[in-house]
Amino acid sequence: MSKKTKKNLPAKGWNVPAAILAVLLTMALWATQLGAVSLWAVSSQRLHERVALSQESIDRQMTRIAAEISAIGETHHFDPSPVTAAVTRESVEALNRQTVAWWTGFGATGELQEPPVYHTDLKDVLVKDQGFMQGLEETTVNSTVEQVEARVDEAVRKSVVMVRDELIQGGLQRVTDRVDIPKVLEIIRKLPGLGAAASLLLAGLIALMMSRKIQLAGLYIGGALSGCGLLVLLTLGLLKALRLEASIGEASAALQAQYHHLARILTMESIGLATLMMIVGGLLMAWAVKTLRKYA
Amino acid sequence: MMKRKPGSLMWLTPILLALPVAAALGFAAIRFGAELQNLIQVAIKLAVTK
Repeated sequence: MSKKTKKNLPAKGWNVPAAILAVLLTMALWATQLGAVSLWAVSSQRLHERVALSQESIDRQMTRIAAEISAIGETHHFDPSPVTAAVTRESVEALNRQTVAWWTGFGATGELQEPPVYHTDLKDVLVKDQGFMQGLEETTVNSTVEQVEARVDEAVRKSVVMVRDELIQGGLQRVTDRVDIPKVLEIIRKLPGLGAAASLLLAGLIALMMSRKIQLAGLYIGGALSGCGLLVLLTLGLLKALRLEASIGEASAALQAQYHHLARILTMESIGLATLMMIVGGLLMAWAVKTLRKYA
Repeated sequence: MMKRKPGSLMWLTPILLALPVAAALGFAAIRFGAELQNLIQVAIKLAVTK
């Protein structure tokens, strides 16, 4: 190594603090990416609509609704086909949209509104059904139709809003009573920005420490970016090992379809970001290694 | 013995930098993975309508 090059190298003592900062930078980048993706997953109305209105999800909801109507039909002796046809796919999609707006509205304002309800008019269909009308007195027709309508409405609502009522009424209400949700949400929304600012600060400090030989800063920052990409891939692998989809599938097939769609979108986004980080980090490191070799 | 090119081990940098978090995640997965899986299963069963 020439005297001139040796003079330009940062003092050996700077390598240890720079390496520690690079480890912190890797952690900050990893936490920022996971935080940003999670925040997007929780708060994006467009993403939730995309998931809720996916073909497979609506198909499974329609299958569940048809099965529930068949069960109600057995009790009230009506043909389930025209009643099932009265619950249109468009009306179920509309209820899904309302549910997403209700949920994301809660996330945005922290105010818990009444969950959306469904109402269908089955009187015309039911009075034409001989099996249903048989044995019913004139005076009880209206109330029995209302009973069937209420049960069908509830079956449709439960197929779309898959969280238990007790949890919505009791659990969420209790949380909103005790916690200032808008304030907490405001802080959570700021976290990815703060993480990004911390990452920039750490990268700046590394560059400052290595300013006499900026290639080494390229190596540390590039290494941190690539390391973050590796960590994101490891995290995705560990989350997959938790077999969440199978657990959800045991509880509800319709919710499993929604989770599958959501997890696929989030995984693709995360893999895309991780790959981008690894490419940028790899290029930085390649540049650093190439220029450092010149001095060797 | 072949002489190693200078900087050829620098590609290990990302792995070394990711090692502390990876080790913590690995430890958590081995130590708490099964419990976490059971907890999630129970929570889902309680929260979702049949």
